[in-house]
Amino acid sequence: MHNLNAQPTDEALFERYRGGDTQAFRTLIERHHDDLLAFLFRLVGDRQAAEDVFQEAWVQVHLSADTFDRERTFRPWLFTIAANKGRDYLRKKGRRQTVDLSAPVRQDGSGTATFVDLLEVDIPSPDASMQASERDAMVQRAIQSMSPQLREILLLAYFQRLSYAQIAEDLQIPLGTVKSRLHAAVASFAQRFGQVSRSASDQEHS
Amino acid sequence: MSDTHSHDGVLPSEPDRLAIDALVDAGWDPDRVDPVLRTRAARIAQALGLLSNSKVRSDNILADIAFARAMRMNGHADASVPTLHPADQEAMDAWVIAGYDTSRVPASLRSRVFQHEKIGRLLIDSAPVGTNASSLVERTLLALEGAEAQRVGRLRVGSDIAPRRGRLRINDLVTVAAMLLIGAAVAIPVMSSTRAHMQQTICQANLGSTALAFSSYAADNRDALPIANAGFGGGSWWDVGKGRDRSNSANLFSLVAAGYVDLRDLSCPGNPEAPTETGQTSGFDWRRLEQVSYSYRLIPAGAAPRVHDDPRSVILADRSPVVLMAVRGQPVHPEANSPNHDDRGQHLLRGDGSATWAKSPVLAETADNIWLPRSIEDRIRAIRGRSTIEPIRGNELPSHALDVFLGP
Repeated sequence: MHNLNAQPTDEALFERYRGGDTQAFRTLIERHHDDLLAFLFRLVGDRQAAEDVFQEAWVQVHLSADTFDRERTFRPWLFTIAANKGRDYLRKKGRRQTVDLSAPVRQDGSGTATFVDLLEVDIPSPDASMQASERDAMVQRAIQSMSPQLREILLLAYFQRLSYAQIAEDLQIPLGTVKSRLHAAVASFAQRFGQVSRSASDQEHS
Repeated sequence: MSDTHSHDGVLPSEPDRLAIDALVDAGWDPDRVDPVLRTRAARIAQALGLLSNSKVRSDNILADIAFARAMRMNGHADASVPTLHPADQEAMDAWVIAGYDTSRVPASLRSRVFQHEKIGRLLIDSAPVGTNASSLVERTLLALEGAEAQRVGRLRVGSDIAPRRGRLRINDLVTVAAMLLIGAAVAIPVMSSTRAHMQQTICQANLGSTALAFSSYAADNRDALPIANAGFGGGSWWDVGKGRDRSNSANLFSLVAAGYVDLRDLSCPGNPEAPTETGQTSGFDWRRLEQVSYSYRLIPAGAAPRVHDDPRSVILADRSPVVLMAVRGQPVHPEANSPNHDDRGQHLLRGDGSATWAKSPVLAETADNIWLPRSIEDRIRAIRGRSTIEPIRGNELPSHALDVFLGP
């Protein structure tokens, strides 16, 4: 039976917008507001900049409306556009790593490789006792110290929950690169979060 | 198959890495790999068990896992980038392949997948988005309008190419022309549809503002529609800018002159000659017929129509094509749509303040053509749909109180 309460899909809304229904576009923006803004905040590291890039991304969605492949799903396309805009922003800003946290968690002695074992990293749950603002600041510090490439793929994977093949298509990079880069991104984040976390803990006890 | 050894076992050599990439690109079929790498790719495929097992070969997920294992052997050459523990790599691959559904991951990997899950929640759940969503949505929509208006403006101005110092050679001109033509050929079909939609959106927003202006004017003037003149001064109602008592557009302009509406709200982006600064007008009217974006209800001399006389009656619409054709002495298409939107239709503003889009100038409810008085509609009914020159002189008036007739 047809579900009268079913919400129109993103793709249906976007098709309606392409047909001239501007309200459909507003619905799309509202629907993706929280996720996209959170994604951009993590990517560019600044609330105001995230809001600017948010607007630019939607303007770009509008400008590229005619190029949208109807066979694809809307949300990954939106996030890819947003990631591109975020990358442009960071490039323009000329942002460089502000925190140097390259010390390895564990080295094998040869000095050629650093391994991060997630079971050895203390990753708090969002509902842990740590204050939300404190945790948020630590996550952001860890992310900001990563290279933009790793940061981007980490966020795209976790926010979008895409398959490797989809990420490869969105970022236009080979499948193998997606995997190795994502592994490195997770390792990088875990390593840096562990260090930020330890640093915060040391300050508390000193 | 490797030339290099490390702490973590065998690392593929650079040619092997190239062969792996080629193998993936070829859909795991060594026969489709470039001949230079084919032998090596076949050995790799064989090593991964892809050739001996047709089931594995056709199963993308298993192929992905096999490939992931091969890539894990690779390790990371860049010592500055940390490497995820191989077990965590395997857990991540399994998690992604399972569609991020932890329950579908083998139990032996689950404790590590939980860590990946926690990282995901840490990244997503703790990102602050604030509470004032509507403000950002509104600003985004405004940015959209601004971008569109800017683009329309750019298209209007055209491609301004700064003159180069010195002489411009013919080859330069040819190159520039070719670039412009190619650019236009690629860009225009892509942009035109979206641009048209955005122009419609801005135009509809204009009518919304104008509806408020009509409402405010009515509240201040005993429900009256704005009238700046009593009759047409002996001339024609399409004599735009020639005197306060001449054109019908001066009636509409009185909303601008009295400050009820901004001139920009009466400038449709689909009209390339529409002014946006009052300095570009005569102060009591637009200067030329082509500047006028919207056609207003023609009001016979001595009449004092009120906005609530017939709330569903159309009082304003995108500019009339009929008036433009008639003034230029061109054949009139009685059922043509407004040039503001490339003849696709026009917005209609009614007495009740509603703004709608109509694909025909003939009103569905009354069969009344908004571009013409009934008297002329009756005369052309017999030759409906044909192009003809009708004797419109710019002094016609509505045939009766309910006859919707808009101009200029």
